[in-house]
Amino acid sequence: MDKKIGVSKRKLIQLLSALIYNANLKGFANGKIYKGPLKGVCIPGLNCYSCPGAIAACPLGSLQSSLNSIGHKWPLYIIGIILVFGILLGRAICAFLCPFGLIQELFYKIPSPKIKKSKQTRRLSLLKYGILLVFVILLPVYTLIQNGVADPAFCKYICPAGTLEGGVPLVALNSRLRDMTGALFNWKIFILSIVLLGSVFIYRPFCRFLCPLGAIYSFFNPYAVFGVSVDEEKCTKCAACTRSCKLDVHYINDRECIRCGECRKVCPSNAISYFSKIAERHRKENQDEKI
Amino acid sequence: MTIKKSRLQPLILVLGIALIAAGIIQGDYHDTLMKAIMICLECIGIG
Amino acid sequence: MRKFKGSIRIAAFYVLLITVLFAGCKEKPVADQGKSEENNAGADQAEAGNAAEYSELAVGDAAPDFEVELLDGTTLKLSDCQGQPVFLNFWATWCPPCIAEMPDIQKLYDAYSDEAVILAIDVGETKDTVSSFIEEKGYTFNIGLDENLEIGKKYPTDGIPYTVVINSEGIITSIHLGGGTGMLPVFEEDMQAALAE
Repeated sequence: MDKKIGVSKRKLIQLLSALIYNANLKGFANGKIYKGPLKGVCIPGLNCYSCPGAIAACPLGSLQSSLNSIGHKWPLYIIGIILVFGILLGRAICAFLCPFGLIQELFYKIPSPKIKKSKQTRRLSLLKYGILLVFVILLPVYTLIQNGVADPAFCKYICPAGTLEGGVPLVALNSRLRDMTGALFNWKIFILSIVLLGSVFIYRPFCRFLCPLGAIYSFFNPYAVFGVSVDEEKCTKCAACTRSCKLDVHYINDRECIRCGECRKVCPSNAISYFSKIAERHRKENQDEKI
Repeated sequence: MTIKKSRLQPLILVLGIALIAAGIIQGDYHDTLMKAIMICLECIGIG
Repeated sequence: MRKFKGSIRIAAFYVLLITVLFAGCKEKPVADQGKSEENNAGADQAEAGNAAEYSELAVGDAAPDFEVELLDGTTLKLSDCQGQPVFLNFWATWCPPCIAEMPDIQKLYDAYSDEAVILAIDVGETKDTVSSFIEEKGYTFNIGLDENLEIGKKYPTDGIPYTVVINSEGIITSIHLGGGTGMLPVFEEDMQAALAE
């Protein structure tokens, strides 16, 4: 019973966060973006600041554009924000607080043959680190050196979240913008279509193989305050958890784990639960006291 | 292992908050805000 | 209870987020701070939408008057340019397509500086940032400074580069949202159209 509630709770949180990030509903009506001071703050998931509804900024977009000033100052603000989000939640952000993750999950619900994970997909999951390195860091720095201004290469050439949330609504609602769309926009639409189509057959393909933000947060997974843990005493090593996990995990709570909580449902020994390390320490301290 | 991890968490959290503060002082919040309200259209793939 | 500890943390995060949201949602667009009501452009433009909203300009509107500080320290007032067309471009040093179209703006300036005013207004950046950038690149057309987005709010736009061409009577004859390389033929066309009227 608990576990069923757990799953739909997560959906609820996903929906709520998508709504909160895009609370500027009137932006969708008039095709204009929100310009309030909150736009200088980053939300944890992928939600492009070009979305007419967006009330805050995307950490990935802000990171890339902050590289413009890398010549004379480090992007401390953005790095600080990412550190705080990462150490608190790790990739739980992916499962709970990213609207684009939600969209992929919704597309996956469309009935179809599904492509299961494999050794190949595990290998493919490394691609997102390559994209992080090349498109989020190297290309912006390269264009900065070449042209004096950094191209946010991931946002510009790849990000389907930006296309879906920002590009499409803005172009649809603003005729002047429509006149300016050319090859680049067509390319972005193509990428978006591939990702959305892929999401029907593959679970969260963007998150697993392409998302540089997920790649960044994955570094925090072993250390994050919030995560998933296995009670070693109850565990019978049946591996039902890793087998049922739709992500390319090697073990519970590794870098591919987005803390969706599915493994808790299938564990026959009830050994898996969400945890926060602080709560666990308190529990251990209480146990010691009792003894 | 657990001990090391639990020392790391408050450290990184404090470091993160310190960097946010330092970033705001050096004008990063303002920069982020400007770029989020005056969008470089080609940067988000409209072009 | 253990299973819900994580949920409590997430709930706490949301309480924080919602608080911040309501704090920031007082709908004070940054571009509106210190807004002056002397928007003496056509009445239709000053109207559309409520006070906190801004309406985008259209071809045929009267160009809102403004006064801008130039990089060389002088001030330029739009209404003083009556009798000459004005090529107005909003840009920033961190915006790749804005920078990419600057060589074309320079060519435009070289060709038309006698007959028209070529003005590129930088938005949201300090004078130091802009001057070191322009010095490095060596552009000679007029560079305006709009650090606090005061002028930007009279020419509201979601994005840059934003180009507005105004004819000698102060009426907007063309508007472009976005830009980049290859804009010279477009700019030339706009200039000819503005001169013709």
